[in-house]
Amino acid sequence: MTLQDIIEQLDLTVYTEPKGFAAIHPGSGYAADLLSCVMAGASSESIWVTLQAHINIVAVAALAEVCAVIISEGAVPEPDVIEKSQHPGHHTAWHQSDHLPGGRSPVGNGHPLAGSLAIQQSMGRNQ
Amino acid sequence: MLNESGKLVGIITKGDITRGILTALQKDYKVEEVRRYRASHLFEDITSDRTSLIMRYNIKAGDYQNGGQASSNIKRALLRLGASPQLARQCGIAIYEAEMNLVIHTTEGGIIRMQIDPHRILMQVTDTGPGIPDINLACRPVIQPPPRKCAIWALALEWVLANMRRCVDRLELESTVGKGTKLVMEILLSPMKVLKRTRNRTPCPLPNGEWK
Repeated sequence: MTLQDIIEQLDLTVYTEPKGFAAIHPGSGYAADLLSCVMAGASSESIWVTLQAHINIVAVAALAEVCAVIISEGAVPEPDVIEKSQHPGHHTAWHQSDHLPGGRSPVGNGHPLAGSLAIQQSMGRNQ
Repeated sequence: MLNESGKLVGIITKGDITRGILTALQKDYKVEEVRRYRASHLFEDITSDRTSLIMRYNIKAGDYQNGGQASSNIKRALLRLGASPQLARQCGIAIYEAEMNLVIHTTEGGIIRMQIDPHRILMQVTDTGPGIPDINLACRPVIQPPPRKCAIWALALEWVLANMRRCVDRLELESTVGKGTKLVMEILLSPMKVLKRTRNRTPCPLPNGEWK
């Protein structure tokens, strides 16, 4: 299942410029709001679900090499968060963390969203 | 295509444009390749009894806007020097935790000093205060349940230190209230140790209060 599929099926609002989401295949997911936990536990090329929407999530997402951040609970990132996530100097060409799409979920709560993601992923594997 | 006097001197075709773009791309690619090659062969190209690369980053207190910038720069530098993505990620995570502590908790910010040797990476993070009141409380293993009356700062620092320990081979923390804190982290550049560290994950708390 591609990132584009996930965006469409969960009806996510994409905040960043489209960057070939159909070519990104997230390997796993991680739901946490404590940044230290995310860096310790999130795998490379995973999707991170969080209610945090402040500027520091960009650096954490880049260091943890996640391929997408989904902001839950209706939180809306500030313009500087979106701008920094697309900064070419920040996510340089050495890794796929080039792609840092930020999506806001209409599902609302982070845990049901993570559950929906797991179901979608499982359905994608069974097809 | 016209010259300065407006006379027709040629026609630019789609093929010319494609060729031009490809030539420009190839030129950029070569420049990048040479840059990467030079950086990754730094230690081989310089003859000395001991070659070290030292990088310093001044971190301002309260500068949330640039929080994480030094860690990102360090990670990028390590990749340029030929470090594996796994090693660069470990260094980046350990330094990010230290960097954000300088941003959030210090009075005047601090300094990150990275020393890269062929056999190790030494990271020193220093600040001038306020200092940690009870360093033993923060340094206890995260696998133990926290005491009932445990300060929030101690719990937060405990997590930060656990995360750092997971990424490095050696961690030392010294602190004096009113004077400041010094953190030293070392990663030995042995592939076996990198593999070993990824298997030994730091314990995490479960929602029911137990620890896995």
